[in-house]
Amino acid sequence: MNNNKRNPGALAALTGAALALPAIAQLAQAAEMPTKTEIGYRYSDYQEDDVDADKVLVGSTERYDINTHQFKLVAPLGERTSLTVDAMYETMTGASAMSVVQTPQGESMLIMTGASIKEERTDVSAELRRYDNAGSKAVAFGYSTEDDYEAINGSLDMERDSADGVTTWSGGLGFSYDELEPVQEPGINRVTSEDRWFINGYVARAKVHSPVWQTQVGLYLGLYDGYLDDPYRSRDIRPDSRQQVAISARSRYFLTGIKAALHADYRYYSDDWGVAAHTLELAWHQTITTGLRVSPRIRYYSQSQADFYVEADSGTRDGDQSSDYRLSPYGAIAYGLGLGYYQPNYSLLLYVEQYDSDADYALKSVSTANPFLVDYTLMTVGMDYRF
Amino acid sequence: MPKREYHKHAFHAMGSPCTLHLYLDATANADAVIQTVECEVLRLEQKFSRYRNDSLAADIMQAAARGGSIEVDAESAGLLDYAATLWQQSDGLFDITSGLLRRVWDFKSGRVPSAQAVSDILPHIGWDKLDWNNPVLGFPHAGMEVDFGGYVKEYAADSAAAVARQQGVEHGLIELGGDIRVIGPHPDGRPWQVGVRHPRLEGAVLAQVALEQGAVASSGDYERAMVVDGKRYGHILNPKTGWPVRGLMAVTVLAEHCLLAGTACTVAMLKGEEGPPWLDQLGLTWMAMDEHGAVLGNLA
Amino acid sequence: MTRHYRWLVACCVSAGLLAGCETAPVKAWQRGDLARTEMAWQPDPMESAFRDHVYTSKEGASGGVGTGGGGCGCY
Repeated sequence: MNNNKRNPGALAALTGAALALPAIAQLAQAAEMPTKTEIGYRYSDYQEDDVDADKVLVGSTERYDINTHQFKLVAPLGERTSLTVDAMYETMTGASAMSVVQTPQGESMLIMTGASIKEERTDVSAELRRYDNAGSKAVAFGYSTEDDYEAINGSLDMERDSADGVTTWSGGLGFSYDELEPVQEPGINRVTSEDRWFINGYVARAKVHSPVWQTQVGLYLGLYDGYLDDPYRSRDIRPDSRQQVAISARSRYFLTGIKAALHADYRYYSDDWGVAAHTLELAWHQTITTGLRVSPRIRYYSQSQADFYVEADSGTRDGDQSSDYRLSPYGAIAYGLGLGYYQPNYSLLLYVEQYDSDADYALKSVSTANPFLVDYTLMTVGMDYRF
Repeated sequence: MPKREYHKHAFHAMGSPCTLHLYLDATANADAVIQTVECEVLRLEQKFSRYRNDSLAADIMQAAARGGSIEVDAESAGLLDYAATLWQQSDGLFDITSGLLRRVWDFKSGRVPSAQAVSDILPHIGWDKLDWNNPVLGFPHAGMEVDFGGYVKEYAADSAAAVARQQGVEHGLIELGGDIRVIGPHPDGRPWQVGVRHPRLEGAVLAQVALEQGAVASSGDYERAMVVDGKRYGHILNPKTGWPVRGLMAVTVLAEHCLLAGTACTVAMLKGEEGPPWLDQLGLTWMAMDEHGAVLGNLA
Repeated sequence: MTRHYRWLVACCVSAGLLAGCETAPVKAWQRGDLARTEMAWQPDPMESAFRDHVYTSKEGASGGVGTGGGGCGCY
């Protein structure tokens, strides 16, 4: 007989055998499915730092402030089905960059939209999830609308546990169809109506390595097709499609002695526009006393520029070009802190995050920083209630 | 939210006092629900009892005695599969063929069997000597025995909880002779408070655990032991040697379901001093008292 | 087979004080520490969704496991 003492799957093997018994499978499944109705609310205050006045040639220095209300409902529908409804309502004020121009001295300067805009965004989605003995399947639809924008999206998701319970496969397919009708301003020649498709899929494999450690690796593919330019930039010409690939790895490790969960998430991203990015996030979830948890985290991000990124706009250049900072080379560091108070019937939550981006944070050195790189502060408060 | 009433129902089954704690809708037929849940326990007792001629266990015993084979139903097959898995995971210590040892170990008699008597029994013990090919259980050697008694009570607690769920019970607890399976927390979300009794001090509680869901089971080696010539013989017998094991006085394990909690206790007791590290390797929440009275475990 | 004896059990059905506890588990076999809410891939799905929305709209890269179809008029 094999000596299975060192086998971390011993528990999984036993549980797998037990789950073959209908009575135990029934209860296990009921445990996985939400048995209570839960409602959640989050309010987020997002504030971008103003742009340096000496980088703005024309227009406002004030960047976006966004207030967001999120609502969530999770409810069991009968024995094997759950319904999740998410709604989000945001109001935005602030100005955005129209153009980056080069001064005769070789300095990159911004032309901002003149007045502070005010916009609203509403996003609603619903998911039906069906549970069976070894996983679940879900279908979801969503609708999102803004002053100049309308989108529908849908997705199919599934999750499968292996018979021994050690590995879980999950995967999904999603689509989104977006219509843009940019706000028109006198004297500016903008497109009037454009659209784009987005389809994406992922597959992931999670594995339990020990009673305190589990990991997940995933592959993601995304494909945009249609109008991908920024209609509010004075000169912004991008390819009509964008193919994305990302691989991700996540780890969750529990330190039993001090009751802390250590999270490490890494993602490598690459697309056919030439953008490649590394994202690493580490979080420490420390239980202080029963029901009270504090979670500091740090996130590092670095990307390379798109092939057609330009440091400054030029009305005479041909071909694909954009001075959008999102396509520029840079890096970003975010520090966050979460605080949660958890009781059987309710939870109270508080999160803060400070996000700073800088060309100097990029993995590779950058010669000219985009002047519009964003820094922001995010604060979220929320509560969940279960009944 | 519907109004729920608390019902407590005590009965006797599987050689133990049993109690159902159920919160039932005021509009529900409480007696019918309680009856249905109790009947599930009695059904399993009937089916797996060695002491009843009309039980499935008796049919298996007959096949075992004559060295034949028997096709079993899905539920029994599930229990046999579980026994096979646990036999592997416990290095052969959890063995449902070990009941034969009772023929030589009579703890009421106060007599210790001869070494010869014990070793004569051993060739008839060993799960690996059976031919288990789901759903057919074959006995290549006549004169063996299979006994579900070592874990059917734990399974019954899970099964009764499942039946209660089917009856619409969301809040409650099943207790079968000290093995507990939670159906769901109190209606207001509070967990059930379960006291772990001190093995030596009558009425003293060694620890209290809050269970919102899951199960807790215990095993101890202090109730049915005999002392012969100043030497103490516990009732937990190693199926490989045929002799009582030493090392732990009592174990309590918390797990998702009672079958796992209960059988993990049994294996820990069988492993003796090796039991606590084995429980840790499984990642279970547990507590034990060793033979010197020291309290061990991560269930603090 | 060894029989099972109880070391338990006083099950206190009477109204005990509110005892804190972790919320519901993720999966049947992910018990114990793995089932703790802070061990989930996303301990707070609402917060994760919102932060992902921010990162997606402010950074060049996007996508990952669990990404749905959700669009955003980020320009």
